[in-house]
Amino acid sequence: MSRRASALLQYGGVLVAGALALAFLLVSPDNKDISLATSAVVFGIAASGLGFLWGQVGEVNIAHGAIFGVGAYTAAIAQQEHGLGLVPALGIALLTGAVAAFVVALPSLRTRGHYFVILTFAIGQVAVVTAGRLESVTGGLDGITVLAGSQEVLGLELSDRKHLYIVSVGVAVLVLLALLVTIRSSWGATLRGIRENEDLAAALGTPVIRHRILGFVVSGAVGAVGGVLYAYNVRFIAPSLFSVESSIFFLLMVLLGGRRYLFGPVLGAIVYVFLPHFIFLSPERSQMVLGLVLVAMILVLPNGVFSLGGIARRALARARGGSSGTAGEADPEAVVTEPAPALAVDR
Amino acid sequence: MQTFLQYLWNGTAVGAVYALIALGITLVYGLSRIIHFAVGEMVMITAYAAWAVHDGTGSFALALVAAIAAGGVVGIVTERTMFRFTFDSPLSGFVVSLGLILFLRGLAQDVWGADTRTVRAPFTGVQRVGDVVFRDQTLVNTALAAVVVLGFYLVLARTRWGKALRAAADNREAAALMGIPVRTITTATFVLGAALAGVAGWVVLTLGSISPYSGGSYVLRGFAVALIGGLGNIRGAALAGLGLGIAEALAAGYLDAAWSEAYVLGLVILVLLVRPTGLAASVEGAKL
Repeated sequence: MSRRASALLQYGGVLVAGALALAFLLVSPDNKDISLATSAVVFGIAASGLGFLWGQVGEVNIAHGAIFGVGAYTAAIAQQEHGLGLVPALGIALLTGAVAAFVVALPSLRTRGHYFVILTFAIGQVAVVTAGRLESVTGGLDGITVLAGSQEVLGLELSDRKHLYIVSVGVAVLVLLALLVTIRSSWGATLRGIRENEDLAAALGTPVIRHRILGFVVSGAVGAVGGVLYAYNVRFIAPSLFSVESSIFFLLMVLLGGRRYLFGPVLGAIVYVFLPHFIFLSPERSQMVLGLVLVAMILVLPNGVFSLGGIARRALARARGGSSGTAGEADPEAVVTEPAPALAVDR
Repeated sequence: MQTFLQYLWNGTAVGAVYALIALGITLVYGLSRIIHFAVGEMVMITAYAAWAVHDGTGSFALALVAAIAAGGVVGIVTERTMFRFTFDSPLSGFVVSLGLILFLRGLAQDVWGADTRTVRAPFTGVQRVGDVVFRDQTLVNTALAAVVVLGFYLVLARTRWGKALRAAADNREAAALMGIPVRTITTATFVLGAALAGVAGWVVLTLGSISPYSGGSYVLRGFAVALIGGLGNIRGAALAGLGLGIAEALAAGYLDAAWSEAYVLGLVILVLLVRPTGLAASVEGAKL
């Protein structure tokens, strides 16, 4: 398949997914279901940021939950202190999330590997502790409320759950399109080159550190955008919501769908949000199940559910006795779920 | 001066627990290169096991046995069913431990509820030297931790088994070629590390109270200590444990105690930035 055709399919896929998400409203769900669906979309946005970092840059960030929290607090403080609504908050969150991710990434100049992962954890926890202590700014451990009030975005009232959902889906589509452009760009290829062989990239004159930190910045900006919408959806936030547990859940979402697939983190978020409601377990037991799912995913299917398609196709090709099928002969439907050549450099 | 000495002792007592936890982290890391982040939850879950046994029998001795046994069981089950598949990819092992955090927290809440559980310490007496107060319980706990850490150190330094373990930590392939049962030793390390968390769990319980979220603060401090001591370095872990405990007690005593969590975090960040591979070890995981 030509590069242009695969691009069309991928961009089209995002739009189709957005339309499908909106079609969910046609089954006339009640407010609780809409709120859940909004959660899935919001978590999907933030998880896509982490998926970009993990899948494209090859870094793990245990402070992603905290960066998500930076976005949520940006929304809350902008609204409470300065009377700024959702749209300005999204703009500011792009900045605050980028700065937060920059701070997290900075130690990678000196520390790599395990030590760096622990550092991201420590920095995230510092943010959580600080949010709990700076009562005058954040409301402290008691948290802070976010009021949609009579805000409107393009004629949609944010206090209406249905309208907030539509806005969230719109933002998600924009974020995914932006990520797709980034991933398909030559910069995206550079990032994957660094991920695959850092020494080689450095030897070829690529400023590895600058690119890696920029990768963090993009991931953080996306995470914070998710945080803003999260704050509007739950309407009340407290520091404990953004501790290490939330980061683990984001890792779970990314792993579930697959970190190298554009829709992977989104699918993971949908499963993460809706699974507990379908298996009828108490919150404690669903947490146990989610923990085991995380373990099972990393052990059995580390590239996520979406990688099943490729695995099946290769198995089929082997069974036919032919050489393994190339991505070029994949059916159109599979390209949407599976990375087309530009996305699939990593297999 | 009295106050200072009191802080010093308080810090030592707390630091002994940190050293215990860090020892388990360091052992597991040394053998598998896995950052086992669920160690705080192991402390928490073994503390609950100890609480349950104490609640049923009234015996703190049996509770200690139960905590160690519970740790051992968690250690062997997780190693056999999960961690052993991740030895080629330590990052996967790390993610597995994150999954365990969720599972163990959920388990504790499911079985024992989210409320805090309290016990009356078995040793309630108090010793005084000058104006410095030594609670019998903390004396016992510190002695227990000291014996365990010292015992581990001697076994590793002096016995054939310890030598084999150090060899496996130094170079898995070469050790395996020399006929050292590396796999068995690695499994044993996970069990021992978890049993150490069990001892720590019992100690934490005797200090008063536990909740499903007790583990969180210990994972951070355990890793702080293991990192400062140099991952894979036992002597470093013991010294760093005491150091962190004392530093924390002094900071909480003389500075704003509400920020003590942030002091620890700041210390970890600082150490990792100044000496990216820990203070004690010059080469990652060089000494065990």
